Amino acid sequence: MPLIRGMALGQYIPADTPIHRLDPRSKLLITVLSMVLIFLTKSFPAMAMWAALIFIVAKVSKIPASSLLRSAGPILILIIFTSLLHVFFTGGETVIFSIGPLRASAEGTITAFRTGLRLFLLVLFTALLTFTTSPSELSDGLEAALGPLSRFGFPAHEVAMMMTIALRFIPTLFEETERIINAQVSRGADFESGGLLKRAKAYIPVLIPLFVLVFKRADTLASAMETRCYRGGKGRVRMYPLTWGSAENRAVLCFALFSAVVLLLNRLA
Amino acid sequence: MAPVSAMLPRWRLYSWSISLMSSGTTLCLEGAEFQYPETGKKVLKGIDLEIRAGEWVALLGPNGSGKSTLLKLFNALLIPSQGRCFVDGMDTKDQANTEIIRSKVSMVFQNPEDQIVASVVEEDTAFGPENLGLSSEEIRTRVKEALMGTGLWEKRKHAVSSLSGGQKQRLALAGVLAIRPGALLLDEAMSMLDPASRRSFLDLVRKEHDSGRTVVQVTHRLDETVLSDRTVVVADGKIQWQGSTEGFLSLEESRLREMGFAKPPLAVLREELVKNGILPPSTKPDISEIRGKLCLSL
Amino acid sequence: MSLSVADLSYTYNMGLPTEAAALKNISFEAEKGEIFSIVGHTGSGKSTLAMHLNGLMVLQSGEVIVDGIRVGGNPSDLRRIRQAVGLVFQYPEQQIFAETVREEISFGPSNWGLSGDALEERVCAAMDLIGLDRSFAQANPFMLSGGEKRRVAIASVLASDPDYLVLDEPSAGLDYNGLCELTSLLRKMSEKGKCVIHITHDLELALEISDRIMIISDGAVAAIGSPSEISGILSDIDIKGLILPDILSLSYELKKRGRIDKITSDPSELAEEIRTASSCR
Repeated sequence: MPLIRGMALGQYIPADTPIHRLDPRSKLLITVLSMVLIFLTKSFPAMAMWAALIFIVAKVSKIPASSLLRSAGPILILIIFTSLLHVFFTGGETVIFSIGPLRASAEGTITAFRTGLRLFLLVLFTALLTFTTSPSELSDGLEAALGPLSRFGFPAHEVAMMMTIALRFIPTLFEETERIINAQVSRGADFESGGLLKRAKAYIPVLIPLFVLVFKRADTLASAMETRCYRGGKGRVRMYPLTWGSAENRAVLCFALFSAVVLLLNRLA
Repeated sequence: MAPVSAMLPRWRLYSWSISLMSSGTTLCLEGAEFQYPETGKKVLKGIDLEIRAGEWVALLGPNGSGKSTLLKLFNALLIPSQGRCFVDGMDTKDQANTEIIRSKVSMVFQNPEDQIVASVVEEDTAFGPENLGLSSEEIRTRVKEALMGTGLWEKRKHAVSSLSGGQKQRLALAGVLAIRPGALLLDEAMSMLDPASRRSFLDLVRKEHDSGRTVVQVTHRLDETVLSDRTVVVADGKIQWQGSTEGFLSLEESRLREMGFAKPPLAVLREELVKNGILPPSTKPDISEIRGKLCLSL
Repeated sequence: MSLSVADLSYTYNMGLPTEAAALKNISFEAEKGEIFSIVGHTGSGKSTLAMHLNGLMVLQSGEVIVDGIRVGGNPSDLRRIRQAVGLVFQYPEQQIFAETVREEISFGPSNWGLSGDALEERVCAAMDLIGLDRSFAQANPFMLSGGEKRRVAIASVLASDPDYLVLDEPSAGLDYNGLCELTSLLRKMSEKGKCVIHITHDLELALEISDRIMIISDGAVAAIGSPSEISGILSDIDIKGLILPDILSLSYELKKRGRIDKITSDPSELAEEIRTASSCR
């Protein structure tokens, strides 16, 4: 169904840019570090630096600003909600206005703005990762990053493979769920009326066929993977092996310098 | 003494064995029986069948006759509960052979959605070769070869979910061709395709057969089998009929109906025209062949 | 009384970069008592069309009228329309959910408010119609064979006693015997005065069983008429993604070369034509 073709690869926008070409491990590392750093960022100049960085990376990796902004859409409600909480519950001397027992303070408003902006930057920065890295690169990166843990019995390969398969089947299952719902609605199923319990029960004719389908699919998929010589992660070689070269070193170094500047700006404010 | 294979790195062993078997794989069943352990239902009741290297065999039977089970014996997805199954002389029962058997015998399933693992076309094609432990360079060569062969090279960076049903099934085929198997098993691989995609898929199978691969095709549509060398009909777990496909298609219509098949219209036409001496008896009930001969003779 | 579609258009993802027109100004009218086949290639929009016929999709432009009731008019009419138009989806056996065949088949009619003897009657009638022995009623549908499951699933739509039966690719995956059962069911339904709308990519099958055929290509109507009319004109129009049945395409080619006089999709008839033609020369 063309309806969901748009979300087929998550948000990934294929392109041949230096950012796309970076080893997914370096991108994962930078993203994780940036999450921590953005949370530590308090001053507005430092936040402006983050915004500038996001803007530059998006430009280089040819991601349209509209797509980038849209990626924050689903989380906008959360951002607004937490901001409102801050406005009213931070407490402070200068009261701007009040609604009943709720008092909005100037300090609260500033904190709210800061928190909201921080969340927003965080979402945009992580979106950069998913925009420039294909799902399988991500899972490869994850597998490599978790690799050292497999020595302690952590199933790094299995986790990555599960992620690959889950991503692969999201669009398919979406389509199939839609079809089952349509079929049951055609037979008079009613998902809209009645209380919560009744509505939940109305979904049984959708969930059972869906589970049956998923189990059958898992069974055939396992056979198909065996047929294609899959024996687990051991002895597997990737078509595009991950390579950590000078580009990656440079990217990580640049990010380290940037972090230093941000931390400094933070201190000054 | 350690066997030679133990002294070679794994990828060397594979590329060596693959270069040896480019001529097609032989498949053989000796008194094979199969019983599902969960239900105890006996699905195959003593099957003897030898499929020569490079042969194209149509395996027919009504739904539930056991033909798909039979197919799964050939790549060791199932092991006969009685009797034996050999792939190029190797017993599938011996687990030490499983890896090499799977690299020689590949299977395409009915629903493409059930066999595509990765989200991007070229990544899925690479899945098989990656498991073989080949070098990255070799994997890329094979992926290119398989995608070019199936007409999907232009779409190598596309999302799997953006492909049509017919393209998805061609991708499933590309995924197994990249393993460079000696035998291709098709388990009703064309039953979900529309006529146009079916035709292009069948063309690909013909090409693989021409290049020397063994083809075993499970289906219940006779118009898909006209190019095969031999037809084997399975009913109730036993071989009910076997012989040349030509002979099978010229059986009486009533006999075919009894076995649960409809004679393809082209076979009917061919038969009547051969009877009247308009077409030579060697004509296959294939559209391009009949068209060619008719336009010459009329 | 009929099911009529007028000037129906539908576009997915309207206004987005992924915008795709699925239906373009489709108009037709299907009567009770006929088998009306809608033939099109994969992606021609035929499944989208099917979902418009019982109001599963919100109309963008155009009209769908069932027995004089407009789809998308009064919301309370929707249930009446869905009762009147039974929709059998592709691979309907994938929608089975109940513990017994009886419960599965009674799902539709009980949703429409039937109970007791009336419900029981409907279930039995549907099972008889599709040729399922009544002893199956207490069986677990998940334990049945593929063909039996398909029959249970179709029976569960028949049990609502729809006047219009829409089937999306019902022959997919059926073997020869299954196909014979299906075609005889479709004939039986049309003889009972129901309107059967049969959606397929198989032109050969459509030519064999339909009273009328509509061919759609890229979301638009390419041709509409009786099987003989359709076989007469198919050589003149080029339809993307549609494969002509072998016999038909051979007879076109021979006719074009002036070798035979009559276009046919029947192999024996074509052989006869060729024989007469070659003996004349």
